[in-house]
Amino acid sequence: MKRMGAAGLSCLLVAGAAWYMASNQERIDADERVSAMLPPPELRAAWEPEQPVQAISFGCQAALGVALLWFGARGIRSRRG
Amino acid sequence: MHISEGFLPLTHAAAWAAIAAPFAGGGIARLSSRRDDRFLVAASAGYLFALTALKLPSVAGSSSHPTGVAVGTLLAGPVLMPALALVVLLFQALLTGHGGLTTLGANLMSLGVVGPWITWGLWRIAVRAGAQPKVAVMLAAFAGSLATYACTAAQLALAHPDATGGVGGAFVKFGAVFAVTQVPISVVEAVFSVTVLGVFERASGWAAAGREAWVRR
Repeated sequence: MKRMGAAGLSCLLVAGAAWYMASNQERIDADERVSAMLPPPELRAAWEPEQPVQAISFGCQAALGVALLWFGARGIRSRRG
Repeated sequence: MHISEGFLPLTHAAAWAAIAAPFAGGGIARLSSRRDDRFLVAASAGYLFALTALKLPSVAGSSSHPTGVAVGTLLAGPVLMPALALVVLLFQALLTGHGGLTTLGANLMSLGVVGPWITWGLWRIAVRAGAQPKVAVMLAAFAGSLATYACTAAQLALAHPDATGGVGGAFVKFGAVFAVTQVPISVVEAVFSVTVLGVFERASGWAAAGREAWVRR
């Protein structure tokens, strides 16, 4: 139970960090800097999320990543034991 | 390293997709043949998911994300990485608006193929040259991260050559923009990779470089 709590907490912490960093509009993403040097795109994405939605999506991605990492690490450890 | 939707001409996008497809197919085949290693695959995928979601602050008012390829490559091998990168890139293209579907092949080449194979190759060379395991991992992770971005710069340079400098000039131009941001982040990623692999090895008993390389040694 304690380990589940730790896993959940680490998911929340990393998701929060990812959301916070993706929300920071003072810094310019390197990909966006390079894109700004290119001619206008030939195609547009059908769906381009607004910046706050994008930041939430990055948070969700990070949470999913940490959950998978926990699952994998726990599984390997239990097999070893 | 994400080339956004529409920034590559369709011929280039199709060519990169055709080049990346066999690597993705090989990764998916490896994934299905190693069902016993699902926990290892989950850990590698999780690391890749988590790290590519972190837009770390860097110098000169910029930010970028680490690639996260080193840990997965050294745990599960480079053949598997395109399959994991494909899932991550699809997730990002569809849900975060980062990258794109037409540029998926090009992005897959940089994140799933070039980065992992450079990581893997350098790690092997460093280990054979007698480097300390931590130094070898650090060098490989640093080079793999930079190689991922160098690949993106090359892809963009081929698609958008400079009016005066041509493809080489454009590569230097795009590479310089990426380098300012990515060199410090690659250093951080290298240190982080050593730490995570060290924790993983102590906790799981699983040697860095996965079962395959471990058996071969």
